[in-house]
Amino acid sequence: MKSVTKILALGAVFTLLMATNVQAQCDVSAYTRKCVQFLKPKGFQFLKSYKIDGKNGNRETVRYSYVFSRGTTYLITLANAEQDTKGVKLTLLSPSKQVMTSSYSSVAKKNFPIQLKCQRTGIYYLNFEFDQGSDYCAASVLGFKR
Amino acid sequence: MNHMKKLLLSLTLILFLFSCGEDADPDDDDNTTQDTTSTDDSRRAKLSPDVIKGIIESIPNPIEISFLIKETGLKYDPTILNSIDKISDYNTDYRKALNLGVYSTDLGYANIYGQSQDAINFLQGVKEMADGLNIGKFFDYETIKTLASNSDKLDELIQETTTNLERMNEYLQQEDRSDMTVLILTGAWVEAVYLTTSVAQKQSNDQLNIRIAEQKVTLDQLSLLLGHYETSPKMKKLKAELEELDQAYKNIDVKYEKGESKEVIEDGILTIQQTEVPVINMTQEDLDNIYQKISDIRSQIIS
Repeated sequence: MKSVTKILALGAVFTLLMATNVQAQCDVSAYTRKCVQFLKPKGFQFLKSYKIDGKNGNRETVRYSYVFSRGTTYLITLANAEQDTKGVKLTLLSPSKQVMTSSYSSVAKKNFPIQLKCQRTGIYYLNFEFDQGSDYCAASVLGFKR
Repeated sequence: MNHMKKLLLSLTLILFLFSCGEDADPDDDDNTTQDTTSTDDSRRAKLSPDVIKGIIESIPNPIEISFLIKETGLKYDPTILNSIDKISDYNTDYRKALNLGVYSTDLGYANIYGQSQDAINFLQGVKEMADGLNIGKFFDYETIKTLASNSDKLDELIQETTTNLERMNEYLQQEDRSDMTVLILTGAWVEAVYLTTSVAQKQSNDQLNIRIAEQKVTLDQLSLLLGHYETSPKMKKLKAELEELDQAYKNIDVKYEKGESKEVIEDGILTIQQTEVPVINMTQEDLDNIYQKISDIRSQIIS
């Protein structure tokens, strides 16, 4: 009887440990489409898509970079499963890594797409931050127009 | 004693399971942040896969340059593009990857000018190079071919092509073949700069000249990536070629007069208008030197 109890206890521990290792996949295809749909009516051309995977909370920040060119206007859109993309925000940093702006307006209490009318060529940084307790999965698309 | 053995066995099993859990995601060597962009000196000696991925992501899409060329009003020039008759000459992974990049840039250029037949030819070039590298399954040839034949589908065509190339590069990185991604990006960039300089040589244009001068930023990024693979003699040689190109940039000075950025929310979009003014010191001789060197590099890639 004691052996059976031990086996069951071990089984429970094993199941618990396995369950913590199984993480929900971050599928961003629907969010990417949502971002892309925003580009064309505004006259922007698709340039690049980004998967923002917070690994179920193991990553609170995901950073990408891109060489923006002078004389070009860029539009960065953001989408997740929430209305107004709650739970994630984008901060844009300059080539000198100074914060330029954030997609989240504390006044409007929502995110806005960011448009950059670039006058300085360089490597810019896109810093995506998740709020605690969000679903840690989002997509972003970069578009451009001349 | 028997109890003791069972207890030890249980503890060992639990410890083993915990250790498996910690190693489940090797990417998570950083607690909360995935910064794939840091390229400071301390990490240059050996770049981590995340840093390589970050630099790869930063390389601009060559389609931007093709739009710029068309915007200048210059006519489509098929004579400056690579020939698809050379496809069978590209018989190593190194050459296939570089020319996959070259053909993808030519494909974008032909697409933007609405040159359907040329676009389909370059599409074939991209497909064959991709097949040769075992990444053809990520390139939806039939869909792209249909879009290329349809003149009012340019947006979808560019998006589909770009997304397919992104998938290929993502797969190569997953398969620990980032060196191929770096070669594809290098080939694409060399072709884009070659097209820009070729057009600018025929008809000087300030916008094109400035864009050529500003390519130093991307050149540095690619050199950094190629430096990571210097154990390969071919990659080392290619990096040396880019370093010679870098020498052609040594007299070019790009500075910016400071200006305040303006920020406004309009029509549901947060807009930042930079007001910095570039001051670029560059002579025709500098442009000629860049043209000669990029032509030389490109010739070695496509020959």
